[in-house]
Formats: sequence, C-alpha cells, structure tokens
Amino acid sequence: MSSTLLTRSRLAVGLAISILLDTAAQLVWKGAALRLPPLTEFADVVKTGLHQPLFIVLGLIFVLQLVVWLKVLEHADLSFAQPITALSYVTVCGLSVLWFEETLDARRLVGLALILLGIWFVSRGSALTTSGVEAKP
Amino acid sequence: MSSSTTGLTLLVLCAWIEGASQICFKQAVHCPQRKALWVGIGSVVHLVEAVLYTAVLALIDLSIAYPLSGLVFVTTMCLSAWILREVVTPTRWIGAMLILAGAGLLASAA
Repeated sequence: MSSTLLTRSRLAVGLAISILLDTAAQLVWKGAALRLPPLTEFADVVKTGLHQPLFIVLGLIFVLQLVVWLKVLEHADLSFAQPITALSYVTVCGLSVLWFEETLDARRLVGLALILLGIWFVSRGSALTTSGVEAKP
Repeated sequence: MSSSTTGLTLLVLCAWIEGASQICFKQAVHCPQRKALWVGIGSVVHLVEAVLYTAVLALIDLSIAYPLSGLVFVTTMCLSAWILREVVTPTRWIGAMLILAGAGLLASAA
C-alpha cells in the first residue's frame, strides 16, 4: 500500500517536471526565435540557430525531457500520462501573457477551460500502468 | 489533390507518427534489455515527424495546423489501446476529446 503511494507521488513529481520542461522548451524556443535576424534561406536559419545559445539550451531541455519522460512511463499508462502533459498548454499561455505580452480573448479562455476539464477527466481513475511488465492481475 | 488537402492529410499522418514515437518510448521501459534500441527508434521517428511537420507548414497555414496539435492526444490514446493493450476507460477518451476541442479553440485564429 505504502509502496503504491510512493510510486504515485514519484509519478506526480515526474509529470510535474515533464510539464515544467515542456513549458520551458516552448518559452526558450520563442525567445530564441525572437533573437533570430530575419532570414529567408533554410540553411541560413539552421546555421544561425546553431550559434544562438538559447537553441543549445533547447537541445539540452529536450534530452532532459526524454530522460524524465521514460521515468514517468515506467510507472504510468501512456494513455494516462501523455494527456496530463497537455497542462503545458495552460502554463505556456499564462507565461506568454506575462512575458511576451500576448493577449488572451474569451475564445482562448474557453479553450483553456476545455483543456483543464479534459485533463481532469483523464486524471480520474487509476494512474498506474495496466500494461507490460509491471501489470498486476 | 489540392495542396491544402495534401497538407491536412500529412498533418493527420504527423499526429499518428508522433503517437507511434510515444509507443516506442513506452516499449523502451517495457523491455529493459532493448531499451536503447527502442529509445533510438522512438527518437528517429519523432525527428521524422518534425521534418514532415515542417514540410506540412509549407503547404498549409499555421492557423489551420496549430489548432490540430491536440490530435496527437487522440492518436496516442488509440495506439495505446490498440498496440499496448492499455485499458483506456471512457473517461480517458472523453478527456482526450475535450483536450482536442480545447486546443482547437485555443490555437485557432480569431
């Protein structure tokens, strides 16, 4: 019983970190894109991108994201864990309003509410995996 | 086929490919002895999806492509049920549909 509780809290921490990293990736990406000079050639975009430190940070975030994600999947169903990460739509929107001074109209707020409701639905029921090596009868 | 029809078809394909990469990552934790292989395949599949998605953006507007980003939650859930044999409860399906609708509203152009 207590080991299940421990697994559940680890899972919650893993999901929180995943969402945090996803949010960080989106914001760093936008920040890096804003620092690019106007370019037309795809090759130029790639070349300039490789010299922009924020893109290197982005690459590191992606690697870290994969490591954490594999940890999450050790304990949770994919059909449970992945929809929960949709929470990053909400965090990215919130921080875009704060940092990039983007605006949220009523339609977007309804969209965010639907996403939150969807995540709430997914989070009902068992969080732990029902398939593969860890499956219990 | 017009370029927008091609674009939309490829976009839906992208959602399925991204779902497939998630299946690979889940397989990686299921069979530890082949972990590196599955992580490798999953990463390559994900990269292919990214390249294809970039090509799709050349065919259709971001204002159409971005609202459909929620599709991946539905395709991954389908593949989880079908390939991984996860028990996907009705509440999970409803949740995925709500996220799809919400992402559609959030990302669509006014």
